[in-house]
Amino acid sequence: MSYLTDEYLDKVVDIPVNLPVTNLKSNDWLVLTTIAVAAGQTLDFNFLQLTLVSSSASLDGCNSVEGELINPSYERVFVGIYENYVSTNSPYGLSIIGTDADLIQTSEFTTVQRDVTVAKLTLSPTEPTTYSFVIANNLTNSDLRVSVNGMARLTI
Amino acid sequence: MRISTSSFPRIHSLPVALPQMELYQTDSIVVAQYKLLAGQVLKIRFLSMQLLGISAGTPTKVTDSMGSVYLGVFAGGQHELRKPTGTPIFSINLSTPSAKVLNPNIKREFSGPDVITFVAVNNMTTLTAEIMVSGNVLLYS
Repeated sequence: MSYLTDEYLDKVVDIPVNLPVTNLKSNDWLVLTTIAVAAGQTLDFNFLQLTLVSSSASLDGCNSVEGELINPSYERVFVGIYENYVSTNSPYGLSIIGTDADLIQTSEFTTVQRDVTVAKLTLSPTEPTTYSFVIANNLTNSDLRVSVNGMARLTI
Repeated sequence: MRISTSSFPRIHSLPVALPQMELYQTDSIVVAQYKLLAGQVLKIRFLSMQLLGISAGTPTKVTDSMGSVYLGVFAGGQHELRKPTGTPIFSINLSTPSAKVLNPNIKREFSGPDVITFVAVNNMTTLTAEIMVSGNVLLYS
């Protein structure tokens, strides 16, 4: 067993991925955080919670109305991680990195979180890369109130 | 130096976080503010800013030496200034949509008593900017 030292602790940075309760318009998205990772650095992602608080229109259980979702592959609201994301691009059609466990999404009024029993996502780019956590309202017809709490761990 | 189980609870990992936000011309927002008591030390380890977009038009700056938007780190309770004047201890400056991070390998430490304030500033007189700030500090008590 190794010991924790202040030298090691100085190299491990827990970066917040945080959004207080916010009204997210239909067909809109927000960048929660962008983390620039240099070659040789490592970014680990293991913990994030997404809460869908309320909506402007009634959401009928988890049965989505046809045509309601912008991208039918995702739930009504989702948080995804994007590589070298450009904010002018809509996130709905872009590739999200990681596995299914790293896509946090819900269609119900509840709090969902990444399954911490699934192996953490580890990103070790060979060239400088930015990783953006983006939350998107996947609905065409309803505003959503959402909040996010999470973190990513950067090892310098 | 090893960190003991008694000293570890006195080390706090604290956020400096602002999700994507629209900042009007000449306006500023305090992203985080930490008051240090005597004996406390604050280490800034990771600090980044992203300029996501600027409204159309020609930018005119309030403070020419700074970027169109910047994240400034101020000491001594500078937060009382309604509109920061572009004299932070250090800053991240951006003028085009992009992301920038402070070099995390350079140590930046503050000792108490002091008040350390992180302020995001739109340094333009006419244009609106969309920004995002992300960072982390360690507070040793």
